[in-house]
Amino acid sequence: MMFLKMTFSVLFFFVLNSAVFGSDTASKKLAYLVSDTSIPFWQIMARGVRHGAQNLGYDVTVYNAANSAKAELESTVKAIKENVAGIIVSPTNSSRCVTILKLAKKAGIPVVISDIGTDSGEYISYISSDNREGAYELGKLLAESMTRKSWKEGRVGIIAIPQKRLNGQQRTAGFMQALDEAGIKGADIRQQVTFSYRETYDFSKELIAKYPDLRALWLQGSDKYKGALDAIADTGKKGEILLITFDAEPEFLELIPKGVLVGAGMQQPFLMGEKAVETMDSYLKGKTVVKNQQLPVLAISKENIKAKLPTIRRNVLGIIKE
Amino acid sequence: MIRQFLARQSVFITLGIIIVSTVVTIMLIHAVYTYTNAKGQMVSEMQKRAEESAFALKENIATLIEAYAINEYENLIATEMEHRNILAIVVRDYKMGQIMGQEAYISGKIRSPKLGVVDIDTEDSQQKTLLKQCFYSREFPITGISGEPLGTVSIYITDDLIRKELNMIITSTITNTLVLSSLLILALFFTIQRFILKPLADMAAVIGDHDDDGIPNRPIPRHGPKEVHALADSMRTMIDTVKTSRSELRDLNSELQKRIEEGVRENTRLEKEKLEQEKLLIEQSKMAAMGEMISAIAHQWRQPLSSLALDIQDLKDAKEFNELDDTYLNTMIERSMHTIHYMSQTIDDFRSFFLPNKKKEPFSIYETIEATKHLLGKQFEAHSIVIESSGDDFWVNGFKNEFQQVLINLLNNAKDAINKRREEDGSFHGKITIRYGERKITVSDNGGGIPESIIDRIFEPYFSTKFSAQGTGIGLYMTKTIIERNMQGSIRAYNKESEAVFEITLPE
Repeated sequence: MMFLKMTFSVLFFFVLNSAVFGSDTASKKLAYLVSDTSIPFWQIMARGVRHGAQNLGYDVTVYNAANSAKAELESTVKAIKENVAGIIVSPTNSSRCVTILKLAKKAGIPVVISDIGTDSGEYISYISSDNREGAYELGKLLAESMTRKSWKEGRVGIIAIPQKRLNGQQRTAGFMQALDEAGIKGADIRQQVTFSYRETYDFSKELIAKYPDLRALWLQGSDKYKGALDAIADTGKKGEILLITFDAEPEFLELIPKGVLVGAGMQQPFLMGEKAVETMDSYLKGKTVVKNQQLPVLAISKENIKAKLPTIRRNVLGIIKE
Repeated sequence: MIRQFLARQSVFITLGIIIVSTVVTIMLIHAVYTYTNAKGQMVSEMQKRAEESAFALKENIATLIEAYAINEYENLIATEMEHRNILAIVVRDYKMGQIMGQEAYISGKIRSPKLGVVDIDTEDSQQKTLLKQCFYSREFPITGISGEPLGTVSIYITDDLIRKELNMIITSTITNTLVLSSLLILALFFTIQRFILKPLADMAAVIGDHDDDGIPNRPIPRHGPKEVHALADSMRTMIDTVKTSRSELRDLNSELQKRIEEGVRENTRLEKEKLEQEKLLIEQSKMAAMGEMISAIAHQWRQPLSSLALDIQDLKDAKEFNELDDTYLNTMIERSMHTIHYMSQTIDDFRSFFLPNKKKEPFSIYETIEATKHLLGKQFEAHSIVIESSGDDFWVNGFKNEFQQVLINLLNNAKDAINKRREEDGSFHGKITIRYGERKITVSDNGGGIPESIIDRIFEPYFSTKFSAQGTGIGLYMTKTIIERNMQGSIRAYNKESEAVFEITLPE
């Protein structure tokens, strides 16, 4: 009897290991569909994906849609035909993501969404930044700065990303909560349409002209920060109006310590990419995964930038020491 | 059949049947018309909407296909499905098909009975069946700005919702029909009962309460519509007229009764007079016959009387010449007695003829004919007329002498006809033939027949072709009277070749 028990135990382990081994070999290919790698944010996220895949032993192919719906769909079909074990997607927009999810579902391929999100469809996990909390922290940071300068009576103008997007709404809500708590009044909110330098410049000038008591500008996106800075300078308000942004550019590491910018809310795209692969890996290994994962947005100021620099370099900028 | 059925019903029931059947029929026709019309409109409207949807969709979808915004056009379809009564919208996207390496990428939405609006799945058999069984479908091409084909959009419509709506229409129509029919029937019944039937019923009640003559005891009520008024007025007039007429009729009846009684009395008197007349006629006839008989007796007796006279003369001569011995005397006596007996027999024959009628009794036709021939034989011989008779005897119940009178009349008429003809032809041989048997007796003569102009009138009383000295004009009338009234037989006269034939038929 004991002999039989031992024999079955040995056989069971053998079969289990074979299955796991077989599964590993069969599912070592992943695809990362990314909207546009010309944008640093997505470049960094792609690096995070690659880094995560490398760590976990996956062969990952990055498909750059270059912000083209057609290219994105072609990449999806191609990845499906490659019979990848899983797809990580940072879609060109949440609506197009629905089609990707449908095609993947039909092919029986699991999908992890990293940022942007989807309007509907089935996926195993959605990894995003905690926009609300990040914006709230950023708002607090600005309020503290204005309080120190005794500018609490001044107003804060907002140049926002489109508010129909969920992340835009969350950013506005978190930021306004912080201002309310500090008793600081908001000015108008202008929504970006063209996402151009000129647009940001014009919106900034308008707000400055309209609200003489304007003491700060908050940009919900970071890439056109120069437009705001130039508008402040051109209206002769340099040193009288603070600038703070959600997201960050590499040069911020210099501009924040110099006080050109009060602060920036920094998402962690590299970390998100890594997290996406880890989540996919967990799923493929049959582990339970969290459906919605929100990663913190770092509220960086002159005061904390030094301490946060290693995290910023790795998770935000994707700079890792090999 | 319906008429017969209705004829057995009261006005109320008849009216009820007519109203109910008419209202129900009309309401049903209206319901069917409403239903059919609504269905047609719904189907037409549905198709129109579907086409409108398709036209609106294909413009928007074209742009989205070109932008590879599949989810966008699927959302568009879902929105369309939410607001329209559509089973499914299916898009065949050629551009996405190219990416997929197939002719078209098929997507869209379908309304699942259990799950609501879901994505089209081309491999789902249930969906396939639903699409196949749809009530209406149409495919519209989708083209780009430059006219290149981008795909197609197909609209599928089910009649489920139409059926539901039609069921609701049926339910509401039936309910409305029942309610309206009931209200209409009740309203019609009430109004007709109140304004038409009640005045008629009141009339009928008044008419039902009548006296022994059927005249209403109360005046006919006058209320209700114009026609009922007119009817009541007419009835009143009629009743008044009837009353007047009845009164007049009663007077007339009374007068008539009086006249009838008088008439009856007069008739009785006339009948009596007629009977007496007839009796008189018979008597006259009998007297005439008697004259004939006496003439016959005279003929019968002439020869024996001459014989007796000669014998008596001979007896005288025998005495004178002493030839009268016993033998001679006995011979004379015997011969004279024979002659006297013959004469006595003749008297007996005539006496039986003149005996009054007492009661009917059976008599032989043969014997009666033979007796008559015997009576008239000598007389006819004098006229050189031969009487022949033959046949099968049969018996008749009646008055023998009356029948004998009939025969005498017929034979005398025949004799007169023969004599008349003889005036024209002196050498003519007269012959009378009597045939009898099978309850028929025919008497025919060769006197030349009866003129056709008078043959229908010869049995009328006082009709005679003879000179007044010759005939009374009642012989054939009496003959007919005796045969038909007294003996319940019949007599007719006709010509056969040149012979006059009288045919008597007698009952058993």
